[in-house]
Amino acid sequence: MEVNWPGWLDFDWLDLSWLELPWIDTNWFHDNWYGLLLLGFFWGVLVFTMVGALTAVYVYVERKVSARIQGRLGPMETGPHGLLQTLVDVVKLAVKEDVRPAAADALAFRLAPLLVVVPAVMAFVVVPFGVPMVIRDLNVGILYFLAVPSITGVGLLLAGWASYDNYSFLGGLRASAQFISYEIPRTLSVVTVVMLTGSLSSARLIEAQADTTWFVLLLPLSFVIYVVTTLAEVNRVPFDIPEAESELVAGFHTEYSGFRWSLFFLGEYAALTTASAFAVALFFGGGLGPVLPPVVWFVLKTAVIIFFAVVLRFTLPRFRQDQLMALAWKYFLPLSLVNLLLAGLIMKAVF
Amino acid sequence: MSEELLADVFFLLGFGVAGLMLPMVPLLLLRYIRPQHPSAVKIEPYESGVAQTTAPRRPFHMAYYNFALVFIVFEVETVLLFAVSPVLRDASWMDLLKAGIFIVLVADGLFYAWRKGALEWK
Repeated sequence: MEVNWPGWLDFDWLDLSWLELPWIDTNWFHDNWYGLLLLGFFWGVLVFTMVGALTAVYVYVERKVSARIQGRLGPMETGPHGLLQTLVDVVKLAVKEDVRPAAADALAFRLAPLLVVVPAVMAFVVVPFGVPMVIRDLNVGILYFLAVPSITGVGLLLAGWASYDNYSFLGGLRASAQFISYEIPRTLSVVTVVMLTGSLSSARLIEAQADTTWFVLLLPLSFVIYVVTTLAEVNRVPFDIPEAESELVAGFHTEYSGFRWSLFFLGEYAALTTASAFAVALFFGGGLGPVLPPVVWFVLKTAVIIFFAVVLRFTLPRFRQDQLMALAWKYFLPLSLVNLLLAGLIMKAVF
Repeated sequence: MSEELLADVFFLLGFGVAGLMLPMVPLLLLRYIRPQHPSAVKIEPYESGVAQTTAPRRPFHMAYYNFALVFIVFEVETVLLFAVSPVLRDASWMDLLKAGIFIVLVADGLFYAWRKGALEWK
């Protein structure tokens, strides 16, 4: 595989020897279970902080894009062009009163936001940022990526149920129903990529595309299915019926306020980021590209996909519940089964 | 359990602990900053300005249950496909045909559920 990037990027991220700290024995992190635990903790803190910072950027971009589309200015007062607006909002959310309805299930009410945000961020572990650069290259990476963020569905249902509120309850039910319906076509579209890759490791995924070509060219139908079902999985328009504000107030997070509410927001954006990043890894060759280092390519491609999702939010109307379910089960599921057979033929033709 | 797998599990465990701590620690600390003045009206469930008329713990639409059942069936079949798909690349036409037959059987299941009306939102 012919890949070139600057020397300073040519290191094994997990092997901390690039820190060149003579008093730290880097092997220690890999030899002991507590070393591994600590290493995981270190990466966890790093990734979570990064996601928090990214979310602030997204909120700003989303508000500005929506303003442009709707012929408004958006945030303008705080800082130049409202750049500091999100920062101020974070402070506001942090010191806001945390209202919990008396009838709500206390434990479930507290647990639900965590169940939404933690699995969404944990998906970052297997995202291939560069050409071989993965935080941890699990041998079941792709399965992990599909399985772990799915726990979010439980969190959404729990949030709706625990709030003891009719709007929340309906929102939670809709969210989980939508989540499970689109899960299957989405998984099946990823299976076709696994067939071409010949491995479940996300690092292998990029190598396989370096050997052949971007998988979007070989499996265009899989890509379409993946994008549409992923929009549904992360509750983006046109699939945002669980939090349809004109009928359900705010859906499953109606009763949440302050910092807990912002956790739902964080989870949603984290899910959008990992899903877009994986779309790039699955179909657009990850960090493969000329001249620029792989990480830059990867971030650029991911940014384009996220921007697409943001623009879509202010362009399309919303589906109705029955249309939503019919689309998943009567159109996308049969289509993805046909796509599987088709992918088998394509695979035989290519290899 | 192989050593490699165990290493991955410990790494993910550390990652998950960090993930749980990062939202939880601010939540606990902010308790000392944020105001906390619950009143009888404030902690009522929100129902667009009126008192809650119906409790949310009640039977809900049957279709959710139908879809959940169909989901479980198909999800199990999808997991089986994950076990097969990585090795298909170097498989013969005969093996590919066997996998194809499996997919046709899955499609048959979908067809059955469809005809039985399990996919209708009534």
